[in-house]
Amino acid sequence: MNKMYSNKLSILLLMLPAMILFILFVPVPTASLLYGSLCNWDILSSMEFIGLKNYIFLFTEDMFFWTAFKNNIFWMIGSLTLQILPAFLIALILSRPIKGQKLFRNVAFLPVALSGTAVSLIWYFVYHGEIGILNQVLRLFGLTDFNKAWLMDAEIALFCVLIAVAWQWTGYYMVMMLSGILQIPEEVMESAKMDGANSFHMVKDIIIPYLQPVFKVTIMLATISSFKGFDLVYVMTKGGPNHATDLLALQMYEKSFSSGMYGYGSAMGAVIMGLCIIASGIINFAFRKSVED
Amino acid sequence: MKKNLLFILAVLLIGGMMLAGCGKKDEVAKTTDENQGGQNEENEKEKVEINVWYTANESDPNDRDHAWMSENIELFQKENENITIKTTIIGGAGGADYRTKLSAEIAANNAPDVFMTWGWGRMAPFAEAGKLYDLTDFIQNDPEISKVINEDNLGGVTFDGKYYGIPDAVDLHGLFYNKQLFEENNLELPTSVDELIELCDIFSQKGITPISFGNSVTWAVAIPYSTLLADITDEGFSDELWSGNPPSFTERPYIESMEALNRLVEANVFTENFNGIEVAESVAAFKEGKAAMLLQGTWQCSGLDAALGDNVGFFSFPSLSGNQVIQKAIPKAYAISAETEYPEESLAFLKFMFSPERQKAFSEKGAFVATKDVGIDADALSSVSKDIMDIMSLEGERYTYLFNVAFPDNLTTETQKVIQGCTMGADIEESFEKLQTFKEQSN
Repeated sequence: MNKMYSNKLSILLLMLPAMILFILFVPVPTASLLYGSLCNWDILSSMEFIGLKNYIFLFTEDMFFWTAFKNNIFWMIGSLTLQILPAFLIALILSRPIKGQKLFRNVAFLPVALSGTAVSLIWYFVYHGEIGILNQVLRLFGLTDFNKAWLMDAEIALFCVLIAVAWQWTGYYMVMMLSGILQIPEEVMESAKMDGANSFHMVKDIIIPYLQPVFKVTIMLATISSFKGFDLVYVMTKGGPNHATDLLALQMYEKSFSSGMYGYGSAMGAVIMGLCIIASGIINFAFRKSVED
Repeated sequence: MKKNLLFILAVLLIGGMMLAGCGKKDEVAKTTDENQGGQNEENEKEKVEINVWYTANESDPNDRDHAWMSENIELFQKENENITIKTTIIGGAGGADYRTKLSAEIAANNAPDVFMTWGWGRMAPFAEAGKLYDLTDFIQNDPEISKVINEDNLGGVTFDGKYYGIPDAVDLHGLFYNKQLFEENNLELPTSVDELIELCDIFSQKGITPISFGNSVTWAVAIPYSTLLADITDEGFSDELWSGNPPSFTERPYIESMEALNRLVEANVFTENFNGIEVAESVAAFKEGKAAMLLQGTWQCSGLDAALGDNVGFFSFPSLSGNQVIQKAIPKAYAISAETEYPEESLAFLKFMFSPERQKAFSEKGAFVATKDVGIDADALSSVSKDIMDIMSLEGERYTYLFNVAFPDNLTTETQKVIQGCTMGADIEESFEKLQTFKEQSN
């Protein structure tokens, strides 16, 4: 067996199926996307090469690109605030030997198992102007003045969708952080306690430094997901009212499939990919020292 | 050595199976057919399978399209035993999902043989790309079809002087009303916006929603807007709109029509938060007697008949001037793919669908067929259907369509969003200026 693993041909053959699938599903479509972004293409006729015109129009003249970009930045900040921070706090609580720890962990993770469409529909009816639970609860507490069609309010609609996203994904990040906390060596925690460290110092000086690799992964995942955000917004608001909840991925979808501008949609896809790569690079750079430590 | 060889063979086998699994289904099917060809060659040649696509809500017993098409398919296969029809039904409010999937299949040269589509701007890209079968000869020269096709209704399926589809029904947009609620309050049907606002106020004071309206689909708000716009413009303006290259959106008629619509919104004539209400919810509210009127299209007839019977009527949405503006809906039409392998069989199916017998059956399901001389029994129509037929047969009245019916898809969507936004407080002049910029950029 050892001979086989040291045999380069064996290694190559073992990797070959996965490599073929990877090439077919990642570099080839990416190259196709990048070429498509340089063309004018309505999918019904042949591609017409137009160079960088799609990108020039996108960055200088598209009325809704910067609205969608701004919304994606808001989405990213919202994701980090409403998902990563609560996930860390819940993981801290669940890392203690409390009764029902496993039950609470499973309950916190349950929304992750639901499909995006199911979550969207649940929260669509929570926010519904007539029959929504939120308005009914407000009425119960005499706050009828605060009743509104939440997803139709341009000021607040995007925040409402972010709450739904946070509800679904906080458990996912919590599980990762909890796993990281539970792997901290017991003797390190014990010796810190013996040195007089209180809970605050334990978190600040022991847990947070130990969780740096986990923070890096979770922040990267949340950031990249925020640039690719689509399903909940598509089902709950379709980018409305009047582009107030428009996101880059939603714009890409509309330009491609609704408007038949596949070349332009490809350019938007390439921009989203570029933003994800830049964000990954920044996060890697920010965490480089702490991971090395 | 032996173990290594076995291992390498196993890896190649697994890799091969994975790649084979990625192959197309029809390639696998063709291989299967070829293998069996030797034994049943004669039968294979005779037997034909055609693909038929349409959009409908299968779970709604009052969906007239599904009721009619499923009957058509069943009966046609009984009469033509060598033809099998493989049906694809895609639901979703407004048909947006259906249009997306259909466009993708047509673009991938995998179009269904016969499919439902919409006329005007939604059919134009397919016709211009040569993806639709030219039905001109069929419509004009087929002995049976030429007798029943009403060429007045072929405007939306005509491109470069050729016909590319056959419309199935003529529908109107307007207001259904609860006759009992009107009678109880001694109210007559309003003809002008001012009369409508007065009438709606009376209903509101009694806790009845004046007009049940669901605009979460975004497009429906163009119904009242289009009537208001047609009323204050002339036929020349409408012709420009329907040419697909509309007059500048900064022109006053657009702004004044939007201001008139906002008057109605501010007078609370529509359901509260109507932009967040689904069509199905608005229809349900009307059926339950919670609303005096329903803003919708006449395809809702069969469901409203079933729920309210003779208690429901229909009238055109009022205009500013009080003159009637009859608004036609964008027609659905059936087309054949230009790349169909079975044009004869596809044409035979279309001929069956538009035969007098099947058209009568469609009419009995609540449709206002786009054909003529098919023997519809006017006395058998429901009360609301008679109201609608009376309106359709009026001469000398102003007819219009949705003002954005001939626009390209992206411009249609944007106009709907702008009008929706304006009903929620966006600045009207600024919004229509941006719309004009959007139109110029899209060109």
